[in-house]
Amino acid sequence: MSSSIASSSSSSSSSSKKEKKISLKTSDGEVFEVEEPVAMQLEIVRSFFADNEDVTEQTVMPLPNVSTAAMHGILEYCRAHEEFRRRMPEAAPEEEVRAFEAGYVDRKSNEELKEMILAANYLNISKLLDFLTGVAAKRIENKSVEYVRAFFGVENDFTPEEEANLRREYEWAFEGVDED
Amino acid sequence: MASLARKRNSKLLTLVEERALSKKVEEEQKKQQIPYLSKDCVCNILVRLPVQSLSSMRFSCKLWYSVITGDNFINAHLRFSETVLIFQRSVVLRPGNPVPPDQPNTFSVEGSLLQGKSLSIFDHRPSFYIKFMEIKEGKSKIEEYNVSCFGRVIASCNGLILLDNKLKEGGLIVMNPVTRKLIALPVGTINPPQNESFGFVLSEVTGEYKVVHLFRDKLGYISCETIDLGTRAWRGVNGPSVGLLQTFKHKPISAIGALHWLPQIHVNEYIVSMEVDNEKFHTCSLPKTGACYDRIIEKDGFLCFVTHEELNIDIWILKGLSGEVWTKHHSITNGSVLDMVPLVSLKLRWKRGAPRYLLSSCYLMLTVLSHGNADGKRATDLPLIGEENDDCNVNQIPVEFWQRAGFTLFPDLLCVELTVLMVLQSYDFWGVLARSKPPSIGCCSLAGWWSGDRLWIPLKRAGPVLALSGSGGFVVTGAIGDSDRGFCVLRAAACCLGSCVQLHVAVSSGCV
Repeated sequence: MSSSIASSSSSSSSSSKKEKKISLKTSDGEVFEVEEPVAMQLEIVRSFFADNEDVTEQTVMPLPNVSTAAMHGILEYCRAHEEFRRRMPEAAPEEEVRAFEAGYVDRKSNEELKEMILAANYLNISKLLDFLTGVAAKRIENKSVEYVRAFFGVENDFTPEEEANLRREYEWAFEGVDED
Repeated sequence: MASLARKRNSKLLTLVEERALSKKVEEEQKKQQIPYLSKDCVCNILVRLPVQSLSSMRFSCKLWYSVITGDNFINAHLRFSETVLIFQRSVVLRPGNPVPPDQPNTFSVEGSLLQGKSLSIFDHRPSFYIKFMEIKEGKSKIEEYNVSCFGRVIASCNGLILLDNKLKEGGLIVMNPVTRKLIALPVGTINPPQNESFGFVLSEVTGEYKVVHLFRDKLGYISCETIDLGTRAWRGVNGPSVGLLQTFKHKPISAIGALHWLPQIHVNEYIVSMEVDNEKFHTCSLPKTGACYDRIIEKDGFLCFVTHEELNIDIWILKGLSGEVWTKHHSITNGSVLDMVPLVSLKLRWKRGAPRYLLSSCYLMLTVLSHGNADGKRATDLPLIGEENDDCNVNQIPVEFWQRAGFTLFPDLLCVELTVLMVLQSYDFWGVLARSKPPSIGCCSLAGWWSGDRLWIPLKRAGPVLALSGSGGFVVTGAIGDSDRGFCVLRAAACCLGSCVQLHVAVSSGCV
C-alpha cells in the first residue's frame, strides 16, 4: 500500500497521501480499511476523528456493535453513494441511485435488514438509516399483527381477553391486511 | 424378553427427550439471534407507516401500544405524513334507485354519537362518505375512510376534520377519520351558514386545537367566539373592526400562527388576520391588489399570495406577521391560465430530490413548482381526475377545491356529471364568479353538480348561457325552479348523457 503513495517534498504525511484509509474493527475482530471519504459518512467515525486530536492514521477504531456481515453491507452502500457523489457533484443520477438501492435491498433478508438498521443507527449514518427504515416499513406495511410481531421478535404481552377486547373495539383496523 | 423391550423403550424415550431438548435449545438460540431492534429504531420504522397500518400494529404488545398512542410519536408521525385532500362524496340518490346500503364496516358518525339509539328517523337524510385523495409520484388515488356522516366538512387541521353536527343545530363535531375518534362540541352562536365562517387551528404555544367562529349578528357587526378542544367552552372574543371583513365567501387560511381571511369577493387590498394565541384581529396589506381570481393559500407553513400578473402567476410569500415583508418567490411564466384560482398547495415528494409543490386550480389543472426555484415553470398538467378510474366524476373532487374557489357546498348536494354542455344562469352564481365577464357560449366536456335545487358548475365552464336551447342538436329536456331567487338552469341534453338525463334536467320558469 505504501508503495503506491506518490513521493512528496512536503513533510506533512497526511496531505501527501493520495487516498487516506481509515481502519475500522468490527465486533468479531475483522479490520476494514476504508477510504476516508467513505468512512466519513459514518458520523460516529467522523466525530471520533474530529474530536480526538491524538488519534493517528494508524489508529484502529473499534466498532463493538457492528458485525462483519453488517459492515460489508454498510460499506457497499456508502461506497456506492460516494461514487455517485463523485461522478455528479450537483445532482445524483436519480435513476441509477434508485436502481442500485432497489437491487441492494432485494438481496437482503429481514434479518440482515434489521442487523443493518442497528448498525446504521449505531454508526449514525442518517441517509442509510432513513433508507433502511423506509424499506423495513414497506415490508411490514399492511401485514398482520402476527407477522409484525415475528418480524421484530416482539412477544405479545396482552392477555387473550385484552386482545379480544381491543380487536373488537378496533375491528376496522384489521380490514384489508395482506397475506403474510 | 419383556424387560429387554422395556429397556429399549426407555432408551428410546430418553433419546426422544434429548432430541426434543436439543431442538428447544436450538430454537432458543435462534430466537436470540433475531437482532433485537432498540425502541428508537422500532419507532423510526413505525413512524413511516400509514396510520391504517399503525392502528393494527399497536396491538403487537403493550410497549408498542403505549409508544404509538403517545404524544411524541403522534407528532413525529404527523411530520412524516403526506398531505391528502379530504373530501366528501354524497351517497347518490337517483330516482328509482333506493339508497345504497352502507358498505360493510362503514362507521356512521351520527350513529356513534347516538350510541346505538336508532338512527331510523334520519334514514331519509342524505349522507356523505368521507374519502381522501392521495397524490403520489404525480398520480392521484382515491381512498376510503369508510366513514359516513350527515354533515359537511367545514374545516380541517392536521388530519382532523370539523363537521357540522346535524343532530344538533349549531353543533360541531371534531373527528379523526382514521381513528374514528370524535368529540361533539357544545353549541355556539347559531347563525345561517352564509353569515358565518369557521377556522380550525392548532396553537403552537399551548398545543391545543382551537375552533374559531366568526359570524354576523343582527345589526351587521361581526362577532367572534372561540373554543379550545381541551376546555370545550365557547368564549367571546372581540371581532374585527367594523367594515373590515365584507364577505365570508373565502375560507380562512391558517399559516404563520394566524388565520387569514380575504375580506372582499373581488378586489382585495389587505387581508384580515387573527392571531391564534392572542386572538387579536388586525389587517395586513397585500403586496399588490388582489383581483377576483387571486387567493391566499398556505405553503410550507407560510402565507402565500397567488396573484395574476398579465400572463404570469406570481407567488408571494410572507414568513411572519411582525417585521416580515412579502417577497415574490415564484413566477409561473409558462402556460398559465388567466383565470386559474389557486386552492391549495401540496408538498409532494416527487421520487427523489427536492420536494415540489402543486398548486391546484378549480379545474384540476395542476401546476408544479420546483422547490426553491424562483422561476417556477409549469412542468406538467396532471390529469388528476379520471386517470385511474374511468368513471371518476366531479363529485370525487376534494371538497376543499370547491370551497376555496368560493363555491358554497350544501350538505344535500347531489352530484352529477354532464358530458355535453351546460347552460346556466343564476344571479348569485354570476355575482360570485363571472360578474366581470360577459356570458359566452361554449361547448366542452364539463362537469357540474346539483346542490338541492341548484346546479353548480366549475368556474371556467360557467360561460354558456341561454343561446343553445333547442338548437345545435341540443334539446332542453326538463325544468326545475327556484322562485325565490329567479334562478334558472337550462341543460342541453344529448344522447351521451346516459343516466343523468332522468335526473336533474332543468329549466326554471321565466328565464328562457
